[in-house]
Amino acid sequence: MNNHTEIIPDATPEMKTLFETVKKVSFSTAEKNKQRETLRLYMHTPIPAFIQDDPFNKDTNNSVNYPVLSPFFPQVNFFHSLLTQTRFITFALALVLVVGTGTAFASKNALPGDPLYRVKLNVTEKAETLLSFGSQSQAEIALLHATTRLEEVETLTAQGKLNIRTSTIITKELQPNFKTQADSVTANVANLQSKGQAVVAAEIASNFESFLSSHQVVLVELTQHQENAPIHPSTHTFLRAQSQNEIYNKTQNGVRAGTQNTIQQDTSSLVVASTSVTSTSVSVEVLSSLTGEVGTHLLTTANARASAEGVVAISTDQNKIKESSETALVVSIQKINLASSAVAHAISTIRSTTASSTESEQSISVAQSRISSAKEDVSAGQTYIQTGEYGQAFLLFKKASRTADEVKITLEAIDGIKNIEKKNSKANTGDVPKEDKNLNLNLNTATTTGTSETATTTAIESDPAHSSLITSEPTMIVATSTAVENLNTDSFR
Amino acid sequence: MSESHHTTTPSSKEKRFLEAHDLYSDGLLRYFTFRLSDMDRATELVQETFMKTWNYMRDDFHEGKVGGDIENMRAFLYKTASNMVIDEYRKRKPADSLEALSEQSGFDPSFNDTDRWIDRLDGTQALSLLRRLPEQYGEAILMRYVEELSLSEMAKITGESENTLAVRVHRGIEKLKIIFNHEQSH
Repeated sequence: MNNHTEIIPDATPEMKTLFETVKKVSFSTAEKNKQRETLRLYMHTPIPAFIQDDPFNKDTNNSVNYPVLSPFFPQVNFFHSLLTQTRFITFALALVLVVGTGTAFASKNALPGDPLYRVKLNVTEKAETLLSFGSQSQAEIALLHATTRLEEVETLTAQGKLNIRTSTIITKELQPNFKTQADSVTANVANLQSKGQAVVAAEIASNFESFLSSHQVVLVELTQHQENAPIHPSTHTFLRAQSQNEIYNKTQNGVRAGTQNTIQQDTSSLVVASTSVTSTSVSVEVLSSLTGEVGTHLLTTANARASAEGVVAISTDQNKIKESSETALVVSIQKINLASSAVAHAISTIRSTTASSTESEQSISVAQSRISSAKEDVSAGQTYIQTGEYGQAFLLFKKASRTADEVKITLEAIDGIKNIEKKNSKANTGDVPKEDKNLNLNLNTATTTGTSETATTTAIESDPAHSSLITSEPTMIVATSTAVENLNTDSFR
Repeated sequence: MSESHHTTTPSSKEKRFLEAHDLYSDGLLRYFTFRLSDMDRATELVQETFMKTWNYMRDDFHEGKVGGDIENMRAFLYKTASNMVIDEYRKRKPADSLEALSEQSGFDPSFNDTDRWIDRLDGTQALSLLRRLPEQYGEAILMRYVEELSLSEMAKITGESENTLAVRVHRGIEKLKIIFNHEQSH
């Protein structure tokens, strides 16, 4: 290729070595393949480069989404333009200011089926994603969103609101969103690792793994309860120790075994096991499908975590790995303490309720045994530290942290579900007149307390004179004043 | 690879473009790292270089427009890259001087105890050794010896004459010799 007739000076052998060394600055095969894929995608994207589905006009009844031109009008790379061109940042900030103060705040606790749920998914969380820069913060925000999705389903199920309408929303919006967020976590973790930030990558993947594995346990349990008692979901108790153990062991074996094949086999059997549960109702089907999705991502995350931890553990930089393992030790002890106090809290909850079942006691003993196994890991890790095998110590501390995290998250999730169910059963047996139920739901009060006292306060707050000030929305006035009338008659009855 | 959803097999143009990516992306990474001493940014810019090049090549850029023809793909890529470096320099604040950046990246190996100290450098260190040369000389050496570009290709990229570049390569080598002797005598 080169034209060698040109006169060029000779380089000394040492210089030639130098030039060869410079060539070591290159992309890894993985990086190259990733870039290649991005380019291939870019090549097949029609100009203007980035077309997206219109987030504000998503029609769930009609599966066709009409593409619109992205309002950000990217020139090269959307995220890069965001970073380099200040007007986009201004735009994003303006959006957050306008939407962020009112609606978005109100949408924060929205569940599938609530009017603001779509705002939460498509505006609030999208804005959060757009405003996070760098792989680490993007991974963290995606992790948060993914776990929020799972918690939403759990809350919804516990509230007994899992009906055909909300199920459709879960399948069509929640689950795809969960998948997107989980994929984003995986992608960003891989990115961090390829940039040499294996410690951070391992940390995030490890956290995500704990979340997924704990919520998988909770979801499986909820599914079984839906099957057994689809009418009265509020009667169920703590996790069955047996199933928790079973799932835990399966996942752990798969992850610990290390080889790709074993992991795949194990988790695919897990996925099959959770999806092949005989579906007695739509809700069971929905929950199983979500559990399967969680299982798939759990596998991916466990792989990513193992790979990132492996990179840290075999690092040749002794000081760095020593530092990492010492941090991991401190973190694992903190997490074990947190998990222990969660167990203590669970025990006190059981004692305070009269209906303490053997199931809940079993689940506590499982939690306790897992905490002691985490403690064993920590002390084994400390022995490794003394012998200078920091890599091994790091892996053990991380494992202990994860175990403790899983115990804590699982107990907290169950506790949350139980609380909701308690409130629900109170609301159901409470003295709220039937004809008021609809109204109360609209005003969002009966769902939390269901007593007529709160109804009165609401009635006072939404004074008819005040509501008549709203002139632009005549239907709203009618609705509000009717509501107030109903409330008044009810509360003075 | 998920190629099934593309209706046509890749055109010769696309094939050539992706081949160019496989062949030259490492060289471009070195070039950007050399000029900016920031490997993360260099990685992003390599991607952008290819995107810009594709925008020039692609047929449907504006409706009915036939994409530009690129005679020497490699030279074109480096030319694009060098333009992007200039843009990048303009964007940077004065405080972000290259001297300050190279000080941050910290190049201070002590190689007094073996005669083949050069063997102990890693890629980035070797690259920052080249950065000790005046930039024009370092660039010329990088292109000529590391990337093995011909003088005529280098002329296309930099816009200088082949003569000027030959002189730069020559002087660069001389200066590199001085640096080497200096390091060895320490």
